[in-house]
Amino acid sequence: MSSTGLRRLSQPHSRTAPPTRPLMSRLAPAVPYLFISPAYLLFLVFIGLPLVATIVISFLDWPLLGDPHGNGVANYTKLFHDGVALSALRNTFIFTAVTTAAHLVLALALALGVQATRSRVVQYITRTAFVAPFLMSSGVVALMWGGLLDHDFGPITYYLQQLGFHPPDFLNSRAWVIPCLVVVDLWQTIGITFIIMLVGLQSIPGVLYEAARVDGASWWDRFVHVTLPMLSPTALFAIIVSFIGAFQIFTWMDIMTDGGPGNSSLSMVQYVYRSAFRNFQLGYGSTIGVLTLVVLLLFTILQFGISRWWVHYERM
Amino acid sequence: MADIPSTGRRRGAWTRREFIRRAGLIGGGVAGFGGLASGLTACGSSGGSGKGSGNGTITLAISGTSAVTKKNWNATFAEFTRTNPKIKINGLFVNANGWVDFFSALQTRIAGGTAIDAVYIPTEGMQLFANRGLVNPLDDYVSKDQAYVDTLYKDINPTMLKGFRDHDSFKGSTYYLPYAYNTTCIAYNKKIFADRNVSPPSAEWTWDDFKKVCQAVSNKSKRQYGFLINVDVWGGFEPWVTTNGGKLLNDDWTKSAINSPETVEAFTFCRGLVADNLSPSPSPTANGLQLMANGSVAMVLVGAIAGSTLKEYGMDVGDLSILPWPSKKQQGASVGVGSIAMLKASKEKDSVWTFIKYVTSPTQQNAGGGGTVTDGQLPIRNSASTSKKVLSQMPEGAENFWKMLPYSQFVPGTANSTAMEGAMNNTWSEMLTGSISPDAAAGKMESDINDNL
Repeated sequence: MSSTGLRRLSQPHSRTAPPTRPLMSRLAPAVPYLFISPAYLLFLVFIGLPLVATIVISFLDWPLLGDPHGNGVANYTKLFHDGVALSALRNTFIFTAVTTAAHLVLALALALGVQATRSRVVQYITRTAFVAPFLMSSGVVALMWGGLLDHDFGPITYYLQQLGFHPPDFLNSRAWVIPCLVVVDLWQTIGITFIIMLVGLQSIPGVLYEAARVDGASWWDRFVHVTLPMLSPTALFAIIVSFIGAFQIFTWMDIMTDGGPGNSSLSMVQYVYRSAFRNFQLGYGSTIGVLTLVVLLLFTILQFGISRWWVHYERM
Repeated sequence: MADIPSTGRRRGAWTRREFIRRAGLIGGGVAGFGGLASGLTACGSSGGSGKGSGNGTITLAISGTSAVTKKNWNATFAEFTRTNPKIKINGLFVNANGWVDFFSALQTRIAGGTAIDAVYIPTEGMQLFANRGLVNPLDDYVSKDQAYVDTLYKDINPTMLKGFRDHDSFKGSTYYLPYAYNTTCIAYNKKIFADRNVSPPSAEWTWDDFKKVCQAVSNKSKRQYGFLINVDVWGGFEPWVTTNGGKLLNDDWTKSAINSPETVEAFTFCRGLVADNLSPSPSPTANGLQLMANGSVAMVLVGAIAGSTLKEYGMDVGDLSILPWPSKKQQGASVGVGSIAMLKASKEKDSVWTFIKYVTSPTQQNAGGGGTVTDGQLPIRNSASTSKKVLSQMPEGAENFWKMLPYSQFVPGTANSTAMEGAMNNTWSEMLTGSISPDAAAGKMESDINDNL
């Protein structure tokens, strides 16, 4: 529909118009909403309804193929006494905290490095190289890293041994399994945080740095008093996105370790999957899903709450 | 401007609240219709939609998506349709990493409304599917064709048949007819043994002999190992427990029997293989045949294995030799029996029964090709599994698969076998890496079993 047509639709009626307005005229007020309705519809179908369904199912005892029965709060009571759920929550928290912090620091360092590079070709190649792993299938990445980190046949162990080290069995060690998964996660997803940080850096007005230079500020002073404050809204966004993404981690654990050794790398989402589709306890799986949602919500609210003390929205 | 209210909103424009209310009414209608439609679809899918049940085509779900699996089964389907022109078979090949994965994927698909008429189910899933009311009882069909079923049973190893019949029924009804079986044996790569100047083991070998062979062929610095220990029940720890005189469950599968000195001794032996670098650390992604083809391991667990499968790894039937599991207190192996389960939702039950009779018939079982032979399974009939035609498709020593039947123990297939096996595999893997002791692992597995019975 042309803009002229749109304007015509939204124009008020003349006095000669019949008492009953034409259908198109009556629908005109809905037009703006129709433009945004696909987004709302997608949200409703893929997020809203499943969310409501998950909450409802969490109060049921549903063995997937059998009939569901009301179960009151039994699933929630079970959850608070479930040692495996506690273990999964702890693993996921550790993984998420470490990977989020590492994402932030590394991505900032990489972005600063790329921004400082004068050659456009080097900038282009570096940007592409960091983002390229993100385009790979997570399953392929998990298999690849599973092979690289394999204790008996992987090249990483082999070369460490050749250098005189005695590497642990990375994926079968309770101490090493989460750090290894963090490395894999960083390798694949650091590119996105890097791009976010790079865009944030590039949006800082150059005049601020010039003014700081005139005032005699060193590189470190400019970084601390100009870059970091101006980058803080971007950093907040990166933290929230990284945290939510990391908290929902599934692929690495499921393919590389199957949650082991023991349950030391079992993640929350993996436990949801395991409960619902391996143990066929759809109600209990949904309950764990609800807990995951609550944790994410609380974290996001907390982040926004404390952001007023460290995020600077002032712009020139 | 007179037509524009002071709020700045045009006359006739909807407020956000008004829009949401109207959209809610429309959306509710659409959702209601959609829900009704999907409900109807679900009903239809359990009765017949798409390629599924109700239009002369049977959809048979099978675990595996390899070219060999598809080729073998499709050959069987084509041959069946040639003799039964009114019935077509549509193979639903499900990509799964083991039976636990297959059952999970399959149940999710069925719950999602995929129309499936029949499923190839091994022992591990028999009670799981029957318990959930998915499988149709075969009592009427068996009564109608009692003479045929009797001749089939007569052509099956009696020990295996007894084990199967003990678990093929649920609440008094028979749900499964045996179609194929598989026992655990060990294959060694003859070339690796020759290259490392190690004499091939004999079929009468013991655990001690096995360990000596592992020591002779292993070389940690060259990343060469004797044997890959699998992370599963059937091919992972059950054969070791069985050959030491232990068992996983009591006879009627109502209670764990795993926490015994025999189990602890078997676990200690296996942990020793890993600790002594005779076996690589457990890995959920390890592929025994691939590692053997690379020369990384000399021996692997095998069930029935065909030359066509070996070719996928660049090997040939002449490269391998098959031996029974080494014994400690007794000979032993794990056995699993496969069946074509008729699903209750199928509208093609008679056609499914025709197919079940076809694949268990002497003609098809002796054909030496198609889905019934050597793709991880042997034909259930003695007359077929011991025939030269079948044996010739496998490496030398393949007769050990049926020779071990009298000493075999059935792999557990309880109503919650997926949860049980998942938990036990976790514990097994943890024990092999030394995170928990064999004694603690046996105790934990007892809980894993009893919690899921």
